[in-house]
Amino acid sequence: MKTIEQYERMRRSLMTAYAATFFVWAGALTGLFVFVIEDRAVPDPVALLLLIGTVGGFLGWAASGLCLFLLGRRIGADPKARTALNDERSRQNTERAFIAGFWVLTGLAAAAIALEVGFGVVLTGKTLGLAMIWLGVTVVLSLFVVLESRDAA
Amino acid sequence: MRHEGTGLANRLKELRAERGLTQEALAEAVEVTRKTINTVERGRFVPSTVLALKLAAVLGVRVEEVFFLEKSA
Repeated sequence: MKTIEQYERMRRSLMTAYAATFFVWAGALTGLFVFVIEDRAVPDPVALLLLIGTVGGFLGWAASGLCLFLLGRRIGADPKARTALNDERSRQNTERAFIAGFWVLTGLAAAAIALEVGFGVVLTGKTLGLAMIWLGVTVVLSLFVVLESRDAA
Repeated sequence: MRHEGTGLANRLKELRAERGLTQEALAEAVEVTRKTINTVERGRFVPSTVLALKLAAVLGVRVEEVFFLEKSA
């Protein structure tokens, strides 16, 4: 049986990997939509890089997601660890991360409007939606990991 | 230790040390992580009333002996 401290470190490491691979995967996928699928000019090496990022990022994200899920099940089977790892400080960090995610999404929507009004650049709903998912999820996950790491210092 | 911007201070580290408890042992007794105890001791996290009462109970003191408002606040 692992200690709560060990579970906590494992969770933080896996969440870091999950956030990083999601950032690569969803970012590259958004890039593919923006440049390739919407038929905008893009050099071949960039398109290839985006494709590699999409596939590689997805595989890494799926693997880390599976590990997180399995870790969650192990923690769930240990009532003490489950309670401690979801304590009030951890919940406060989760809330802070979600609030930051909300402001990032609001900022992104405002930026899209500003781009259209100021520069005439129109982003399609699909592109904007992907960008919102990409940044929204990444910011929430990353900030949670940062806050948890800061508390560990 | 004083909690920034709240005027709240605590003697958690001192009382814990007097009883020979590690942060981990205290954390286990009140069902939180060691990090939570650490952040409370360092004044970076203000615990809820329930957690404050649990901490006081484990330490065998009244809650106001652990947490108190500084007079200058």
